[in-house]
Amino acid sequence: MDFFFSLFMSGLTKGSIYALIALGYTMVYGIIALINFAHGEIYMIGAFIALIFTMHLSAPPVSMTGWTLLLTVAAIAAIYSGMYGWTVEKIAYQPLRGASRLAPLISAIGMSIFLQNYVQLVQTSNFLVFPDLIPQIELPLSWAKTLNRTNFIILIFTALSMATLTFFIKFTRMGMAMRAVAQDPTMAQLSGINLDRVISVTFIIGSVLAALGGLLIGCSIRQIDFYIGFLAGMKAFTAAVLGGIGSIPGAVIGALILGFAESFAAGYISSSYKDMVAFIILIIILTFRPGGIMGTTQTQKV
Amino acid sequence: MSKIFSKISLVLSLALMVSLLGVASLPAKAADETLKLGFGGALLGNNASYGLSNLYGIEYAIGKINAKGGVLGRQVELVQEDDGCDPEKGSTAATKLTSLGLNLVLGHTCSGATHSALSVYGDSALVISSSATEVSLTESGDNPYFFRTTPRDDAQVPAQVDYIVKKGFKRVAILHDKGDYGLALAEMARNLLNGLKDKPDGPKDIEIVLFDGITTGDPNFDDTITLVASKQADILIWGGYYSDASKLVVQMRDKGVATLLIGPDGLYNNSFITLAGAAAEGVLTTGQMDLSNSDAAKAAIEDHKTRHSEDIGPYFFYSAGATEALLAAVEKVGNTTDLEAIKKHLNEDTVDTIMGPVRFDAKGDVIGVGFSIYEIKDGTFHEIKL
Amino acid sequence: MATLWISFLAYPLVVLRINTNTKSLDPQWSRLPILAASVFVITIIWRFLLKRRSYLRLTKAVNEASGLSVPKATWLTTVAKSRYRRKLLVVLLVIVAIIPFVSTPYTVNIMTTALIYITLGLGLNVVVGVSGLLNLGYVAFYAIGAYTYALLGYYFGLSFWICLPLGALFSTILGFLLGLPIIRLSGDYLAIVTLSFGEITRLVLTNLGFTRGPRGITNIKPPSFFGLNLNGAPKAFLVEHFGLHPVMDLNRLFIYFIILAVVVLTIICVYRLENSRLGRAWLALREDEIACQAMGINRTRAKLMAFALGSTWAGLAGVVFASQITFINPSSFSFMGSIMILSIVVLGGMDSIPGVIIGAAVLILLPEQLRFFSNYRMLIFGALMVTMMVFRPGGLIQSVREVYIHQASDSPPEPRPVVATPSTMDQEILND
Repeated sequence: MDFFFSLFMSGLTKGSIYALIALGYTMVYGIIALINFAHGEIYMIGAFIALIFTMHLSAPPVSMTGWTLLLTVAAIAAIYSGMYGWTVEKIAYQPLRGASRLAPLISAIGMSIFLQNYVQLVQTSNFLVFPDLIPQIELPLSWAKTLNRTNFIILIFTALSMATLTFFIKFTRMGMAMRAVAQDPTMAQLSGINLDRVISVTFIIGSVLAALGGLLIGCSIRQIDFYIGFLAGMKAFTAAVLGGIGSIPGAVIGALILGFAESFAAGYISSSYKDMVAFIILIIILTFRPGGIMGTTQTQKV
Repeated sequence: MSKIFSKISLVLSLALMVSLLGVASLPAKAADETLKLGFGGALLGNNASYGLSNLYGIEYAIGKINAKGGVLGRQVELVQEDDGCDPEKGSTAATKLTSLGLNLVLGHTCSGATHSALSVYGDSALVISSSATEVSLTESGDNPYFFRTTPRDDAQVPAQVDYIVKKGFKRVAILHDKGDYGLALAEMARNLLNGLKDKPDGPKDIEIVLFDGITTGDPNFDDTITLVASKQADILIWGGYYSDASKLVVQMRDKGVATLLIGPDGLYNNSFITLAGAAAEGVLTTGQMDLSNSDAAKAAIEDHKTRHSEDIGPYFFYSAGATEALLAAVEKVGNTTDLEAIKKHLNEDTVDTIMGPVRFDAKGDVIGVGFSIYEIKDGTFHEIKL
Repeated sequence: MATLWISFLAYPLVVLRINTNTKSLDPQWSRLPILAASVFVITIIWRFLLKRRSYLRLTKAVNEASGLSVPKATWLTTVAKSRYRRKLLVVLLVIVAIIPFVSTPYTVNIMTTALIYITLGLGLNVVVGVSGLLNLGYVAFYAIGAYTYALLGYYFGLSFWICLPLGALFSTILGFLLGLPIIRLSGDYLAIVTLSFGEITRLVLTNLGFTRGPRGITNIKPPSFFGLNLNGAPKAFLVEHFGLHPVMDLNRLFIYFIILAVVVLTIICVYRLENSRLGRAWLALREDEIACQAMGINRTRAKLMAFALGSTWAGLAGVVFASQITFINPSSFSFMGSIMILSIVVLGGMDSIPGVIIGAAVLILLPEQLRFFSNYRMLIFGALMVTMMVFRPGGLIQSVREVYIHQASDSPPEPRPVVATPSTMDQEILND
């Protein structure tokens, strides 16, 4: 039972990280039908910025520690990533609105290559140590002790993010605007919605989430390098599609399923085959539900 | 009008194609003022730190030799090509180096890329590697002009198995990163451990409780660790490089899994200790013998620090020694093209280098250098004797 | 203005460099002015080009809408579709055939790789460009071809010439099998399944014992010339009787011509396919699946054939690739490979054979030319991809359809090449 539970927990943690990144993918797709390959790199940049400012701020003369350090660094990383996301959108995607579906995709790939190499060149190709910024806290529940405190925070954060995001989409004006644009951009514009602004906000939100995910994963794994964006991005993208791309709860569900699939496959089948199992599950699910789990069946008007 | 236009376009597009083909950019093969050596290795990408370690040693050796007047009256120059530890790029890098007329190469960094590069070099280049440890590179006999100053994988795995037997571990788990280096090591370990039962005086009760692979670059190994813990392994043999191992050991200690970890020379690297932090305590690795204690070595380290922020890495002395041995042979032969003669000297002469006396056996392996077992204590590697 | 923004953005990453040794930050202030200066210049040029682009588009749209002018193709497209194109191709072929004799082995090697990628691009073009099915796992078929030759050679000693058609055959079969579960999928779901398929193939190759996993397969034999290894007896023959001393490995030369022949074969086949009934069905499939079905085209059959026939070329390319680099392992066939091939198709212009050829040439040869910049190579490459897409989203050679424009005069209407980029396809071009 312990074995199962341990695997369950690790699946949950993995799923949460994938979810944070998948949310960004799914939101952007919902709005402008683009698979933002560069999103994984924003996650990576977020982690890097967090590391840089941690080193900067924890050294004298500022010497911050504990919660102050964590929250300050988180804020800075979030702000910077938001800015990066916004800039990437303006440079690589906005000029391509209205072009075919594949042109922004290639542009996104180019951007992804650019950002990866940019960080590699200006920083280092080496792996970097990332300190665990989360201060010691007592975990109240006994089962939570299977999870260390960092992973626990990750879970809480993902749950909060999803709740906040859902609330935002459902109840705020901007959220409504986002839904409108996702449904029909032209009509939304005609209704007086500023398309550019909505898209920018979407990108910024997605980037902030990814960056915070990067920070948290840095704390959990204690190691980052310029390549993590690519790997995480692919997994998160798979998760988003699995859950039905364009749907926010779908992204989280897809991510969790992916996480669980990987963990249980590793534990019960073989660690070598776990990626394969995850992909096979994906194919099976998509064969029976072509729109993803939460996806709406696309009715096409003839 | 449009006829002329399309004719012009024709010519223009032809010109475009031709220029893209770069026929114009072929380097001239004039008589060189400098003696050129080629370097192929990982300079970019995830494995760059291995390649850079090789590069630093070579550059250091070349610097010293040039200061003394060079070789055959010429200054030595190094031409670098990146291969990212990838076989495909290794073959491209090799082709580039040979087409530039280079037939003396120091490289490559990783065994897979070296395999691929050697198939390009054929018998037109002499290659010395200081970090490619996979056995068949020299053992197969397919590469008569390939040498290496690093000992091979079939020297380090028996040392690991020896340790396990001597310390009395019974339940052994083996993990690898599914890469060419890691899997070869893991399989060698498995075969050796299984073979112990057939030996008349060997222990009969050592059991391999797990043999599995992880995906390199994965951030989270919790599930694999759960598996290891459930098998109650005493010791874990790791086949692979340091970045995955550091994540693995950090996460293991986080979960309170105290299984001892023993790894290959991929972990014998200060970067491993930096990345794993406190979790590195107690980790064992087999690594190339520590050569940094001589005065010459210490001077080299000091000199390196003035120029680079990264540390010298594990292969520095091995690549410097390779360079010195190669250039000494070239000096004796009198030219850079008689590969057979150079090979003869490498096999017969013992050259005094920064890594000690260097001579290569008939297969191309260096004589007299081996692996030691190190334990990480207080953040540094300590050699232990069995 | 933009300069300040980007400088601020880049400041932490560019200036505050982490020193892995001392575990502290090494501020590199000297980088900042260089960064600011280059960003300033680049943003000015970029802004100018963007303004020019929107002006051009606006005037073009206005002119076309008011009937003042007809959408015209660019000079590259004109060339590609000109009456001279057959002659151009022949000239090109001759040049390409001569190259190995006037250049270094390095150039031959790169050209071989470029030709392999041309084959791959043409194959993917059938799936993505012509049929509109986004395949992100194309590299799997490439791997199948390569592994067919490698494994059959390793276990059974089969020669290159037997494995060449076998590799193509296995890839085709696999393409067909891939098509089966995805018939119902469309758009980006298709993309993700194909991506998974590509990854699954790679993982299977890594994990299965008999495929030798990451150890890979070494010493793959080059193609034999009527049973002889070219470097052996024939080379000696040439030296003795003609006094020729070939500078390079004759096997590589042979491989070069083999892949050249493969490319020519592929071009011919793909061209004929595109202009056949099946090809027209594919075009219909791309434009509008439902209409396609309504017109009586069997959608399932078209999709399956697209996948199957698109993969054949990858199989051929794979066999040649294996013989070229003589050592393969699964890491050569990653997702990045699929992306490269897709980029070739999109960059070169979807549904356009000359476009794909030029796209492959640019994407493979350009990084080699950029070696001068060594470390910055991939960075510039990524930037170039973005730039290319922003300023020419249709690709280098846009898909061209001949359109008949009725002129109210006595002269018969002349077919003129017209740009039909996907974004303008909604516009009605037919007058009257």
